[in-house]
Amino acid sequence: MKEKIKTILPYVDLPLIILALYMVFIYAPTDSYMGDIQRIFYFHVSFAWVGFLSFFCNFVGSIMYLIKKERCWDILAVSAAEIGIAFCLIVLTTGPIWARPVWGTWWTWDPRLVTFLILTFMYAAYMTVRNAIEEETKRARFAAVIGIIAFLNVPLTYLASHLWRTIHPDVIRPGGKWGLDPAMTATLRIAVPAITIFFVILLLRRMDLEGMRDRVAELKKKIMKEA
Amino acid sequence: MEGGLYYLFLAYTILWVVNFGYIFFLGKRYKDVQKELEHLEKIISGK
Repeated sequence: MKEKIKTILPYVDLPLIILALYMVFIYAPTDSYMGDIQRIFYFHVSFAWVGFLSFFCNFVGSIMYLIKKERCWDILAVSAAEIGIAFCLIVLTTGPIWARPVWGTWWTWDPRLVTFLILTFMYAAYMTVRNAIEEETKRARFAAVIGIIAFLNVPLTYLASHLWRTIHPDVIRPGGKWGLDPAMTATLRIAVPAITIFFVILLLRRMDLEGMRDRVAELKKKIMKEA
Repeated sequence: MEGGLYYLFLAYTILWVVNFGYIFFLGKRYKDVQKELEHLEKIISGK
């Protein structure tokens, strides 16, 4: 079943990404104030949301590992964190590229930007700690604790524009209303699932890799024992 | 917005470079581990 899903998902996602790109560049209207540069927004927001989703997966994996002490939850946590960092890097590069012509600066110490940057650093620290600890159970336990603490920054990042004065645009206004043209909303509604499926594809592959590494470690131990 | 298309092109180029870079990086690690796994399995079956 898992293998079937892994085979099918790229075939589902590729047309969806192509459709999303078509909608971003052709279907969606040009923003009257920002012009074409606004078209960065669709994938920028999609990667940010799916980045949050990946950190949520890490959070679930971390909690479940501490409860059940099963390696599969640690595999989920580390795989999700690594992809989340890659997605955060995309957000942290496309954001300033959008900000340069719109705000007149690449970076400003805005609460949303700062909390997002801290979030990325926290998960980078998570990966660093993992690489620094040799012993498997100790590594997983330490990483799970850091993963849980790091996730506390996700709602803070999301709510930053509501909690503090910020110049970062907000897609969903207070009360759950979309502050966008209907065609722009439709484009975003295609781009988000396209990137979500892309994330699932990467996650399954990354989890496979971790499983294979375990098998290698197991075989190495077996050979050492027999030698 | 002046230079909008230039920045748009730059953003999407970086976006896909990071994505494909990560896919390549993941694929390379996958291949390396697979190779190592096959090698170890050969050693074990040869014993």
